[in-house]
Amino acid sequence: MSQPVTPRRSTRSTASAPDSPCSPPKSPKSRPKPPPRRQLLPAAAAEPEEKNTLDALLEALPGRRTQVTDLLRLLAPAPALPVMLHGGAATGKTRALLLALRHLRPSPRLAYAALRSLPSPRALFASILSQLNPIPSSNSSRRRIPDKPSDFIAILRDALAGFVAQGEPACLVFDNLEVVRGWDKGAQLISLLLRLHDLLRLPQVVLVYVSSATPDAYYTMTGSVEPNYVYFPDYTVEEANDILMRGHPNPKLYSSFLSVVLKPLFRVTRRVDELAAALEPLFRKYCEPLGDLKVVPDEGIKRRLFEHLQPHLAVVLNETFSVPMRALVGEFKNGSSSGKGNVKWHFGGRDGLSSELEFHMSVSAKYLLLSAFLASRNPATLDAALFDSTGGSDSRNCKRKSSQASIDRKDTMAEEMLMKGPGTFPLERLLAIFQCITSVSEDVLNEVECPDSIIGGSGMTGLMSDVLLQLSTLCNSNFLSKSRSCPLEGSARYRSNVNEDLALKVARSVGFPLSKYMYRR
Amino acid sequence: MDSPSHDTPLAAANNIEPFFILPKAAAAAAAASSSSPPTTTTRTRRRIDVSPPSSPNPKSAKRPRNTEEEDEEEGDVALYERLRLEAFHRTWSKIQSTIDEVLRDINLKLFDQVLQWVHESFSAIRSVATPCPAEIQQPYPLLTDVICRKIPTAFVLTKNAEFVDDVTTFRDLTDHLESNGCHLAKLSATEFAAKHGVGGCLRSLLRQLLSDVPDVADVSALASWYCGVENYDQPMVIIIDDLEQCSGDVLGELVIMLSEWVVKLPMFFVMGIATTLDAPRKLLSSEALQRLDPCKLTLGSPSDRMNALVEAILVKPCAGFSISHEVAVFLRNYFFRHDGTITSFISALKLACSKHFSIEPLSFLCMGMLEEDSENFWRDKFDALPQAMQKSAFGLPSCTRENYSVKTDNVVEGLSELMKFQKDWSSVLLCLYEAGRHEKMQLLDIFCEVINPDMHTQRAPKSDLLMSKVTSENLSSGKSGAGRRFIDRALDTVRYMPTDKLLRVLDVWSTHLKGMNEITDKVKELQSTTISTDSVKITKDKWPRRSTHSSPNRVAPLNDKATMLLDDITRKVLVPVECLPFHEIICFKNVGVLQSALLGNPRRMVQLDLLKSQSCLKCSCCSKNRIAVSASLHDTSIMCNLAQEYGDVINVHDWYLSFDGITNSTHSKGKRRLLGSPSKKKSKAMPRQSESMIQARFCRAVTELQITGLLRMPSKRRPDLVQRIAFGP
Repeated sequence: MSQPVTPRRSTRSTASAPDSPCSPPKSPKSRPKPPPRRQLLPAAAAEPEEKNTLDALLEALPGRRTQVTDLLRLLAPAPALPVMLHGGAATGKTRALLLALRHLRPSPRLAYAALRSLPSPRALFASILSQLNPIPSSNSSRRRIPDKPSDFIAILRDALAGFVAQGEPACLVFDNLEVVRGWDKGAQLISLLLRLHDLLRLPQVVLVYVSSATPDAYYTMTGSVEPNYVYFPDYTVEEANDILMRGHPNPKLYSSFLSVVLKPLFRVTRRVDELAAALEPLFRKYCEPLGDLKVVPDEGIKRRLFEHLQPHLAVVLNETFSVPMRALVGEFKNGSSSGKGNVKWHFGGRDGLSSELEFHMSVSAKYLLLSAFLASRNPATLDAALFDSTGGSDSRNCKRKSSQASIDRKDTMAEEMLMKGPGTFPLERLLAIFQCITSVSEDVLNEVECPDSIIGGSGMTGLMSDVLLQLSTLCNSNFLSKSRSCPLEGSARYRSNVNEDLALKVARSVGFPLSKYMYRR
Repeated sequence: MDSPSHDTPLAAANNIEPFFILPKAAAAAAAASSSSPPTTTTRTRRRIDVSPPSSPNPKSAKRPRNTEEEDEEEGDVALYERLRLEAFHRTWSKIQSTIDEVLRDINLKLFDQVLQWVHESFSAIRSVATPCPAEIQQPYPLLTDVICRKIPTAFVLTKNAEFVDDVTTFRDLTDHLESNGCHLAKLSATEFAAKHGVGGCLRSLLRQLLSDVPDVADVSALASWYCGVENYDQPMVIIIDDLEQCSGDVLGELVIMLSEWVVKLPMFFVMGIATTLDAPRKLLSSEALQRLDPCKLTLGSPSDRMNALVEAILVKPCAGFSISHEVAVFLRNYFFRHDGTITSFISALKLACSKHFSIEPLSFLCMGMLEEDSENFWRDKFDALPQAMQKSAFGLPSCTRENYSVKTDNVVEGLSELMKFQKDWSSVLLCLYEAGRHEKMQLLDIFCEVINPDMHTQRAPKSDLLMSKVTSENLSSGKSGAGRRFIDRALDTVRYMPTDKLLRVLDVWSTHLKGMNEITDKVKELQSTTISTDSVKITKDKWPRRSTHSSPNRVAPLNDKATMLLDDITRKVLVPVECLPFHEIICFKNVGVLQSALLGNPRRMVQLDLLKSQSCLKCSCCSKNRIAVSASLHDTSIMCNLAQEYGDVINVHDWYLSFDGITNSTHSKGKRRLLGSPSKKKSKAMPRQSESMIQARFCRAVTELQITGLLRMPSKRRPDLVQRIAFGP
């Protein structure tokens, strides 16, 4: 009876997109941005009227004919088995379900719980019960909300039995079932929900589960009645094309656009919502050369538009998953940023606002950031070699100078460290490096500084003064992460999360020769 | 006027109580012993810091001994302390209100942008669908064709890694949006802690919006609240001020949850980002990112705000209080190097202000600057002063040069001179900045240079060395010009500025210079010449800058004239405040006090004191032979000195041996006197101390070093080595 399960397909989407499964199905999503001015679907929005026939239903759900017919069959008879809709995110599960339920005559009493919007089991219980008993909704907050699942089942059965006695069909929908797995004690709740059919013993009540995870994910429910499965596969290119085309004001133009763009993008993502989001700015670009959006493109225009679009297409292909940042007041911002570009490095170290660095940091914080970067990047064994040659402020490191041979021996180890990514380091090492690099650059700083500056003489000590304060600033802005302190050793270890680009920018802004200190193979 | 700052959190952050209380208490306690302690101590201290060593002031030294006036003076001391306290309050409240105003103006631009963005997003969402209340309350999603699930999100780049300044900004933003008809909720990083999960932040969201929070927090409660007549039709804005500190998982969950509802509940995010736009990318999952419809807004950078603040507080003397060159340089370094927050700059300034009023006996005269009729104010106050204080006014180092007699008129005249001068001075400085602004110069830099008294004495006689690039280059390469970098750069900017820009600059100049008639005339003249020559010179203006550069003959005469004028007025008017008589009354100069108050560095101070314990204790015996570590020192001090000879680890045995050697050295025997600790006295009795005693002293000293944080005890892995923690001399 159930659709054959093909879990492989859906695993991708489960992993990548745990949340979206149930929400307004694909077509709504696909629609989302592009033409926000479009009208509601007639079938969807309108009251279920006479003309709301099966055809209209199928038309509202492109590429979902088999699933919809299955659904209608499974939902219809009063003594029903539970149904589980599964399939990747943005494949139209929730939409198909809601439209199908609306299509049913007589339409059943519906209690819908999107588990994503309900942060706890209690909220779930409360939401379901209040939907079934809407009468005391005004003072719902005062109603007793069951804490224990057994209480919930008892109250729920009472409520449902009332409807069943009146011959009114009822339907319980649990959407986003997969999120429950992540909850605290989620497994218990899932098994409770999946056994509802057995627990309630009300065959007239239809239970529907919607999940973007495959049924395999819920194997705890041994012994209970196996639900019927309806699988929603990912859309094909043609179906996606159909969905994206729907209701567009200038179908000719848009279809010529899609013919160019959809195939390459489809290789990146098959989710209609993501496609739509990526397509919207592209389409605007596509139309840029056109004065009149009503125009019906001929071959010449198409070619011209394609050439116009091509450079942008490559960018979008790489950026489907990233956030396009647009400036609200473009001209204003551009003006200021371009002006900033040509700031001269006249006063090197002291200028807090560097040309490249987009944000302000005090000089000592910058040095601290650099030392953290170095500490994470370089193996600790090389510290002595790196910093002594440049003359760390005092001689205490001198006796540690290691021979060339031992440095070579450690090279392999260092290589390993590089492969592992940024390493962790104790606070002492950070401070030692910090002192080394500040003492080296102190001379430079003072040169640039007005010769009569007060603090110039004690530049480094000035910098040292509130290092811990700066350290917490860096931790707060996620440049450094701090591990919880080890209960045995008692001291916390840090790790720098800064990438090399940013570190170089920072180094440039204080005029520090970072590359000299970076250990490279 | 006294307390306008209570409601502003910036003020709260800077809420340094004036330091009058302590000295006052001390004064009361010490009053019995001799005459007015606060004035005398401060006076002597200032002498040490400020006056050249050749001119000690005999009057102030003698004054305390005038016993017949003692009682009277005591009353006066209290009176004038009160006056200074009042002066401080008035001055600071004036400064504080100026600061608030400036910052509010800067932020207002951003706020209006945010508001506009909110309205745009709201209408965009509403154009997707306008659900009726019944639809909103349905638990399942709207079945429109156009459901959009992206939450409009404004990323506000605060451009400062340090977060403190922005706390107020976001709070003001909240108020601003709220007063413009948005529902506001403000979530902070603590609500996004992983511990509470998404339920925690949803609850906190509801608590801020709903008056009656149901005990089960879910979105439908929000939906039914939003359907209320008075709430409907207004956008909801959620402000998260410190995005970086939030837990990415929880925030992502909230974003995804709310995105399902965004058509029904128009909710927008405003997120503050301290660093770069990478932050949200790193923090949130791609799924959550897909649900955001981002746009970027930027706050004025800290340097911009700093410029505005410096202009309002320091350049335009809004309250009469000013700072000396040294203090200005210190503040600048403090800002750029250490802290980088406006908040701490302001608190440093407040500290300076309070120190000034507590240290300088005549500082209450500052208040006169705020009075309508300042001259009368000064005259009254000064006449009422006791003789000694009047004399001390003329004993100020800035007056000793001139031959003033002790007369009220002179003081009043001097002060009004100061006030008038400050006005001119600030207008000219602003002109200079207006020019330098095109080269991205910071006002604080120019300000520091301009108030440098050395610079002034150097440049005064050289006014003939005007113009022509060559000479100015000579200047900057020569020793005198080394410090004039910013002024010269500003002048150069004017020299090579394109004409259209220059005209704009001239316009600004003429507004700045209002009130300085002759100079304004000159500017007018310049402007008129341009207008007449403009038409002729159109071709010339088009010339690229470089060509004008290479052929100095063809430099537009207008540029040259403008540069000349600017240079002229710069030299004439920009006299550092420290070169004027009576400036001590309004100008805070004691950078040492400020420094020690701001840059606490306890561990280093402990170490320094230990190393130089002779000078701290003013011990006569040890100071003579400063080469060797003498055994008469305190044990801990000896150990600390010995530790300097080691690297970052110290071998305990070696250390002990050298300690042993020093304590038993024979030549220091005779010098062991009262100074030593009891154990030392004991050791004096016998020529050779017992081994155990020395070991005990050694252990105690090591423990003391550990307690003061200079040392870490041996670890289990290396039991014979202790680690040094504090380094440096």
